[in-house]
Amino acid sequence: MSERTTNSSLSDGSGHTHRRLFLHAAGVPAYFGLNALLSALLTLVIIVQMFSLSLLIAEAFTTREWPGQHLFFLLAGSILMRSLLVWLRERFSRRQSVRLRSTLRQDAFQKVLSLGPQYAGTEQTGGIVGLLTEGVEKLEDYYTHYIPALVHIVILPPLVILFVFYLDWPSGLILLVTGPVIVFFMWLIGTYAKKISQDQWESMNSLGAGFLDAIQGLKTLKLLGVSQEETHRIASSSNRFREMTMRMLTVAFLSGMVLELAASISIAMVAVQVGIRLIEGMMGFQPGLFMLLLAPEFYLPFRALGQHHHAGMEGSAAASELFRLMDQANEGPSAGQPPKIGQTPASILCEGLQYTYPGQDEPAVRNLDCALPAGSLTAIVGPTGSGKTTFTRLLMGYLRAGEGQIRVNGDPLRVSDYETWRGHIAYVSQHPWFFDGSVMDNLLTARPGAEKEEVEEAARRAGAHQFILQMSHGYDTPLTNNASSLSGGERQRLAVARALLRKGAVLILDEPTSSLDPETERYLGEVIRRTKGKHTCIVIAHRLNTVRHADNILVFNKGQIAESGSHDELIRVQGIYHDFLSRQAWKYKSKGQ
Amino acid sequence: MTGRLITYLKVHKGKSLLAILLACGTVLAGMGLMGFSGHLISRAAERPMLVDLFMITAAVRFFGISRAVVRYFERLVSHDLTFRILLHIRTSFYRQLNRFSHKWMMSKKPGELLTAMISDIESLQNAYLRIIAPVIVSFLICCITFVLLLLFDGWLAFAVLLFFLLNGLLVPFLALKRARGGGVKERRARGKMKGFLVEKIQGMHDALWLEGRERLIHQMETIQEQLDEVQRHHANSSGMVEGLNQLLANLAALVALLLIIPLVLGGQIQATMLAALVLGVLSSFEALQALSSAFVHYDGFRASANSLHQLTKAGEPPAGPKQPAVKPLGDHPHLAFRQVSFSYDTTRQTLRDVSFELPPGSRTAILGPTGSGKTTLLNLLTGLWPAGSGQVCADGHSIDELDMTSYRELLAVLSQDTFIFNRTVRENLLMARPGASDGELEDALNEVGLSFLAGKLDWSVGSQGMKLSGGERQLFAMARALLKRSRIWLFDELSANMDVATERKILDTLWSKLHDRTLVMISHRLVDMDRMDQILVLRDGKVAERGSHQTLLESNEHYARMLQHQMQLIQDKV
Repeated sequence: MSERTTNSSLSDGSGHTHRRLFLHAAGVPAYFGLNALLSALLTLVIIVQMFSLSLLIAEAFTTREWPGQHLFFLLAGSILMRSLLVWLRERFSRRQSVRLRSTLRQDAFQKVLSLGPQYAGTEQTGGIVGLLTEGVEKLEDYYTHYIPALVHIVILPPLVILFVFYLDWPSGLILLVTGPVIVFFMWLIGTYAKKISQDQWESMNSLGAGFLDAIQGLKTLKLLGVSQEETHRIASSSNRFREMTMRMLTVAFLSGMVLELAASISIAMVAVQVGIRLIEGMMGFQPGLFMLLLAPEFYLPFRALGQHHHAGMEGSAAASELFRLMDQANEGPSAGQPPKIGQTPASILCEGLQYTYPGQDEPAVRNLDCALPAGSLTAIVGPTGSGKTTFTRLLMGYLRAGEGQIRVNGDPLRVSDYETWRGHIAYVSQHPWFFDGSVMDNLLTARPGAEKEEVEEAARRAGAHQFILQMSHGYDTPLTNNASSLSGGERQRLAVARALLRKGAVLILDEPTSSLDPETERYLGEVIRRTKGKHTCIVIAHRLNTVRHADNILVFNKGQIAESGSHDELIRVQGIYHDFLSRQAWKYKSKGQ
Repeated sequence: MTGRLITYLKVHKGKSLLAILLACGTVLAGMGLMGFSGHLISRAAERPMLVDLFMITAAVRFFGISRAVVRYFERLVSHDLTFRILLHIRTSFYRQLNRFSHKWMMSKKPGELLTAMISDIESLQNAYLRIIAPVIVSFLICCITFVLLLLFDGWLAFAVLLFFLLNGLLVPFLALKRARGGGVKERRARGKMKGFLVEKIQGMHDALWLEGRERLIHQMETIQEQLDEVQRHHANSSGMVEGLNQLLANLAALVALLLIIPLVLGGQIQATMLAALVLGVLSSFEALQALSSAFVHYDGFRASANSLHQLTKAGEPPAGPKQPAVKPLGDHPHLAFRQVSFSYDTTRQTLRDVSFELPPGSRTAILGPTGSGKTTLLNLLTGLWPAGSGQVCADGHSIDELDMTSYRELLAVLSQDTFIFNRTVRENLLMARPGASDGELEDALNEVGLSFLAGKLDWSVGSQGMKLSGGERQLFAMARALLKRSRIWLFDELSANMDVATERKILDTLWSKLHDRTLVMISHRLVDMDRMDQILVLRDGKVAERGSHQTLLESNEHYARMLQHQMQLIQDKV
């Protein structure tokens, strides 16, 4: 993808990603507050636990007598408290993590809807789906463990250091020095590993999208006889993924090792230092033991962060993709009145529309001016790639015109109006899509709550009623996998039925005759003629059969309207339309007679 | 499930063993570090000579360093192992998928398959790291700790063992019980979400005007809530497990302390060992931490494993003497339909008693209205679906007896739903002729009139070729067919989505390239019919008429009527 951000700029932006993820977490009240509170309480309980444990051992060790009972109770109490706090903390962070991910996913989904089919078509579907599912799930550990570990590291070590300084400053000094050193190492290695992690995420995501392709295209692969090769392709891409990930982990785990090492050595330092001072008689056994017991607890948050560091990186890598999606601009002008659209046919006026697909130099349509009066039938003809479909996508609001505007009933259509606008459109696209559900369910999406008679009437008008009744369960026959069990012509007719049911102010048909046989085609021309006046009707046809009765014919050529007028007018002009028509007539004549 | 996973582990025996040894080493080093540290300061408190402590301080340092290093390698080895297992499962799954009939594939949603392939397989890869390894490591550490403590005191050893068992068996049991059914539910919710997203994103151009943003968002929220509910339940289980882990480890240390104090007071155990033993016991429970939390997810692993298994089992080709007797076939066989009947489901007979011959070099057109069975003919001819009754033959052999891959190599098929992959132009074309030079690819593109792609072989054509227009995709598929060195061309609705001028051009290309190839053209339009050797008109799954253009015109039946319809459409206008 040409606009894909390069890796280097992504890793530069990863601090930014973390900031946005933090801000998102801060959106949930008490996420940070409660985490901090639980951390602080945990710290206090740990200090009490270790202090009582050291007292117990020390008394037994030095006095060789049973220590006081109250110490056992204190220890048991603190153990209970500690377990309870750990329980609460885990439960709380996990539940919040669920909530945070869920809102993030909803935001991203809404964004994808706003960006529209054009974006979904250029990005790999599997990629977007992967991002919204696995991608968001990658943040599970980020919010469950990584951020709480960060909070913990801010709370526990300072509290413990304060306490240790108060009791025994030389030990406190060791903690004070080693703590920041560990953080420094962590940062050093982390910044390097982050870049690799970004690469890995992208490779994994494209791996997922490749799978969807490989599965959906299995039939084509089989017919081409290369489905075996595809297995090798999957194996080699999985292997590449493994090698890449292992390369990253070698570094990522190194940071974990440095942390562990620093923590272990520090604990050993505390132990040896305490031991020497014990020999010298400079400190008592109990304070020494207490230092030794507390030291591992002091380094535990660092080790925990080291363990979750990987999760943090993975999360932020996935999130930066997610934010890249969320940052796609799709805003347009939003000033002015919303157009008034009702049940009656709407008038449409296009003024200087221009659109260029991303990554293309030439605009697909330019300087498009046309008026589609309410209730009129407009036919659009022109060669492949002349901008006809782009024009309907602009009308649908699936593409946002770079320049110019569309007026509906006199008022300009704003981005915020598209949703309502589409509610008044009946649309038959080049590739009609059918959703999982019965035939009836699919038809009803066009107008929820329509009566059975109305649905059947629409199906009859579209010439779909007959074949629907022949299906195993009639209108209740389930359609799956984009209705792949239907033939091309049946799909087309079902799509027309769906559009007729909508009873929209506008009817847009994009190549409705592309895979219909002459009989159905003729029948459909009838349907369009009969609906004339009920909708503002726009028909794109590669064949000229259905356009004869149009009030106005727009002839597209190279992104512009080359000619317009009624059939008779255009014939008289003897321009492109005439050319087109005579060629078609010649074609059929040549083999007909 | 475990059985199948262990099969995968067996392939990587050495690595698995190493990973487990390293994991045990990590825990043992931790026990050593804490134990010797406790011992060190206890000894130091007795104020001996500094040299007497030399061995102990060295041990403390040794264990401190080795814990970090061993842990590093343990993580590397076990992750590498995980990925190798992953690769194994993935490819064997796809290979299986490849063997399945097209019929079975059609009944599955691609979204569902993708969930299976990615999520389930990924979940299974974790099963090793999260379940199998922790179980073995816990068991080993438990044994080692028990034996070590036996050296000091039997009661002590049994008491700690009891806590080990509580933590290693009871907590996982509780976790398992709480999570029961959760894994299946979570899987279902995830699958549903994925299916929903695949469908609504691929079909967004229709979803947006039909259902509208608000309804889509609402549907998504409902699905999300189902997933959230399961995950919240998991959150509670995980919290419980973590808390209990913490509680049992610390209680074990407390009980150990209670048991050791009398022994120290009685002189059976040296006083310096008191701190060492308590700290050692506390550290040994590190082995169990991973174990119990794994069982929160056990149900999920099992659900994934089961569904993968079911998916592959369900699609298994029917058992029987399916070993294809590889019949020798020339590169240009004589194809034939012999009394073929077929139905996709029980209620609708799609083809009835269809017979025809396709001699080498013949040109056949198959005509008929929508739904008359034209495309089904193609599906049977290419062996995607097995014939219901009757035979599809190549050189007299039923194609069921042939090796499908080499049979299909003889065919160049252009179907209505030819899939264009989200890869580069080159990769898409190379599928048809692996190893073709760039020049050959460019020639093919030029011939079909896609010269603008010839200079852009590295250009990616977008998801399902969506960066191309409908007509261009058709031309692209034609380029693929031209590239394939096949003597039999099967074209289904070649000129759909094309304007008249392009259709003329592509047909001219076709005729000029055809030479002595066999051509089967399925169409609903009557174009260039006079160049066909035979024309079959299908109606309601039966061959209603057959003959040449001339004879069919003369008989003045279906074909003549179709032609008349088509002419009328033109005459209406001109």
